[in-house]
Amino acid sequence: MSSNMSDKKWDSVLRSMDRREFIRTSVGAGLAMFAPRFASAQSGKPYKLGLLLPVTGTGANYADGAIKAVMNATAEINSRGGFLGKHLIEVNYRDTHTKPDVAAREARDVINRENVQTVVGTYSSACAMAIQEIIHEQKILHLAATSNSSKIVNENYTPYTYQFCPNSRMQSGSVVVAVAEMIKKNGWKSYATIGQDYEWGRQTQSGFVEALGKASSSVELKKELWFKLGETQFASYISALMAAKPDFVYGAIAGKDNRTFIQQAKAQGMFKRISYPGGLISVTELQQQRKSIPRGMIGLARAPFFAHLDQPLMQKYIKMHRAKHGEDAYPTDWAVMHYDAIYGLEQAINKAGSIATEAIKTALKGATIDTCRGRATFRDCNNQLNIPAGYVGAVKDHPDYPFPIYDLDTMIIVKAEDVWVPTCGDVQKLQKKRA
Amino acid sequence: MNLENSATQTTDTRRKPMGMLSVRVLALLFVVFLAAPAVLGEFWVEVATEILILGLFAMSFNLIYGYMGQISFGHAAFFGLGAYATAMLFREFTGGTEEISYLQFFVSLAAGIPLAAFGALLVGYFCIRLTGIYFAILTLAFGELLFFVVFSWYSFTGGDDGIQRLLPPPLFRDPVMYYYLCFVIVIAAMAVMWRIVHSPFGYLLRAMRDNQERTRFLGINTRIYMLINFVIAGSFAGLAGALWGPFTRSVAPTLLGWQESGIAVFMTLLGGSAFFAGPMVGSIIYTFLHAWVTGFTQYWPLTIGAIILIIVLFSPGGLLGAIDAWRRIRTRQGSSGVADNTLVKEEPDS
Repeated sequence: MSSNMSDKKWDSVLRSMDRREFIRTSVGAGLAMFAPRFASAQSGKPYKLGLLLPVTGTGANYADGAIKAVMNATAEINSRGGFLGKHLIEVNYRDTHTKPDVAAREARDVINRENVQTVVGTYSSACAMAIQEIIHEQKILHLAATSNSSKIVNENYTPYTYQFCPNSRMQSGSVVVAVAEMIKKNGWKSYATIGQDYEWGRQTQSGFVEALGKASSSVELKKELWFKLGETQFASYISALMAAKPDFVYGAIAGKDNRTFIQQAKAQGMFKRISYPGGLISVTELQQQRKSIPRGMIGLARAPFFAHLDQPLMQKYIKMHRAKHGEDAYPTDWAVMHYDAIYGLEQAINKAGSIATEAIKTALKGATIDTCRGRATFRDCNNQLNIPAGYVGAVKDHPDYPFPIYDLDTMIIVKAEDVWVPTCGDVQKLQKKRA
Repeated sequence: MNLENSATQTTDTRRKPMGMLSVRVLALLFVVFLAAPAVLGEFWVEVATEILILGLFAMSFNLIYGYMGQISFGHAAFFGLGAYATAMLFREFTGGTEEISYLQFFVSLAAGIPLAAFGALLVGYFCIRLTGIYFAILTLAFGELLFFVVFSWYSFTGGDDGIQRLLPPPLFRDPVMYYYLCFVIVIAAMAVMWRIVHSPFGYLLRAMRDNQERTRFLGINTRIYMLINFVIAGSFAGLAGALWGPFTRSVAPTLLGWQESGIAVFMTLLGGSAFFAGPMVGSIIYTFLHAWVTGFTQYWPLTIGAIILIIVLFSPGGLLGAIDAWRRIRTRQGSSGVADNTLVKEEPDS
C-alpha cells in the first residue's frame, strides 16, 4: 500500500469507521443477539455480555473502535458456535454518556434485565468505578479495557474486575522512563503540565510528576494547568504554557480534547518552542490527524498495532479488521484492548470448561493468556494484566501505512513490572476491604 | 383579598387548580406503588425506586416552578448536595469498609436535608432578588458553580471520581426493602409538601406566581416567602439526593449538573406543573420510558426530545392537563355548559 494514497480513498476509510458503520454493526449484532433464541436445542444456553461504552460525550471518539472490536470478536467466536462451541454470545449494548450515574444505572439494567454474565467497559474511569460497585454486589465479571485509573485495581479493587489495559500509574511511569532519557540528553531543567480535570487526568499527571521527581530530581515543575472535559478553546492555556517558558510540557489529555489541544497548540506555534513528549497519541490520533500531527512529536500509545505485528493474534485481528472495514483500515489501541478482553474471556472459559461466572473468575485469576500484545499474565493481587505499560515514540511517516506511526527504530516499550506498584504487599495496603 | 379565589379564577389552563384530580391520581399511585414489588421483577422494582426518588426531586422542583412561578435550571445542585452529604457521612462511618449500622445509615440519609437546605439558603439569597429569565440564569450559574466545586475538590469530594461503596445495611441491600424504604419516605415527604402547598403559605406562593407586584402592594415581603420556598424545595431535593446515593451505591458530580436539573423540568412538563401529582406522573413516564427505550435503542435523547416536543405543542398542561381538559369537556357536555364554575368550586386548589 502506498503512503501517498489519495485523500478521497482515505476519507472513504474514515467514513467506513463512522457511526453509520456502527449502526450497521449494531443491527448485525442485534440480529446476532436474537440468533441464539432460535438456535437448535443441542446448543447450550447463550452467553450474555453487557457492553457499556459511550457513543456520546468525550469518550465517543475512542469507543467507536472498541465497539467494533467487541462486535467483530463476538461474531467470529459465534461463527465457531460460540464459547465452548455451544454458547452463542449475545451482546447487550448501552450508552454510558460518559456519566458515572448513567453508567451505574445501565450496569444494573443489563445485569438485572438482560441477565448478562460479564460487563465489558467502560471509557471513563469514574464510570468504571461506579460500575464496580454494581458488579461486585451482583457477582458479575467486569472486563475493564479502556478505563485505566490505577484505583480500579488498587483502592477500588474487586476480585470481579480484570484490567486489560495499562493503568494510569503504569502509563505515566512509562513516559517518565522515556522523558528521563530526554532530560539527560537535552539538559532540560523545567517543565509544565496540562491535564483534563477528572480522575484519569489527575491520576496520570500526579503519577508522572511523582515518578519524574524520583527519576530526575533536578527538573522543576513550573506550572500545572487543568481544564474541564470537553474544552474547545485552549488559547489561554497554551499562552500560559508558553509564557511559563518550560523546556517541555507534559499533557494528560485523551479523547476529543487531545485532538483539539494538539491542533490549537500547533496553530499557536507551541511545538516549535516547547517540546511536548509523552502526550497521548494513539492510533486514533495518528489516523484522524494524519496530515496535521507534527512529525517528530514524541507520543504515548496504549496498544498500537504496529508494535506487535509479529504476534499471531494481532495478525489475525488486523486481517479480520481490514476484511470488515477496508484494506486501509487498522485497529485503534482501544479496539485492540477490547479485542483482547473478549479473547481473554474465551481463553478463561476454555480453561474453566464452563460459562459459570465463579469458574471463569477462578480461571482468570493469575492466568496467562494470549493477547494481541503477546502472552501476558494477570497479577495475582489485583488482576492487572502485565501487558506493556506504554509505548513512547516519535511520530513518523511510514511507507506501509496511509497515516504516520511511531518510529519503530527508536520506540521505547516499557514493561509493566518496571513501573507498576512494586510489590503485592504495597498493592494490598492500597486495597480497601469490601463487604 | 381572597387568595384562594384569586388563584382559582385564572384563565391560564396551566395554572388552573386541579386538586381532586391529583388526589385521585395519588390514591391510585399509592395502591399501585404499594403492590408493585409483588408483581414486578427485580429490574422493574429498581425502576420503580428510581421513579419514586426522581419523582420527589421533580416535585420539589415544582414548588418553585408550579407554585412560585419561577423556573430553576440549577435545582440538581441541591439534589447533588443531599447525595454528597449522605455519601460523605457514609465514608466517615464506614471508613471504606462498606459496613454501616442502621443508625449510621439513617443519620447519613437525614444529613442530606440540612446540607441541601443550607445550600439553597445561600443560593436563594441571591436568586430571589430576580424573577423570570434572570432568576433562571442565576440558578443555572449557581448550579454550575456548585458542580464545579464538587468536581474539582478532589481531597474533599473525590473530584470527578465521586464516592463509591455506599452499601446500605444488610436489610436494605435487598431491592424490595430499599424500595419500600423509599416508598415510606417519599409518601411522608409528599404529605408534608401537600400540607405546605395547602397552607396559607402555599396560597401566598400562588398569589406571587399570578401577580407578584400586586402581592407586594398588599404589604407582603415576597422575597422572604420566595426564599423560604426556595429553601423548602432545596430540602426536599436534598432528601431525594440522599436516597439516590445508597440506591446506586455511588455518587458523582454529574448529579449536580444542569442536565440533571433538566430531568426535573422534563418530568414536571410531562406530568403537568399545575397539578400536585404532576411531577410524580412525569417521573413515571420519563423513567419507565427510559428503561424501556434503552432496552432496544441508544437513541434515548432523541426519543425524549420528540415526546417533550409533542407535549409542549399539543398538551402544554402535561398528561394530567390533557386528562383534566378531557374531563372538563365531558362535564360541560353533560351539564349544558354550566359546569365549568361548578368544577372549580368542587375542587380544592392543588
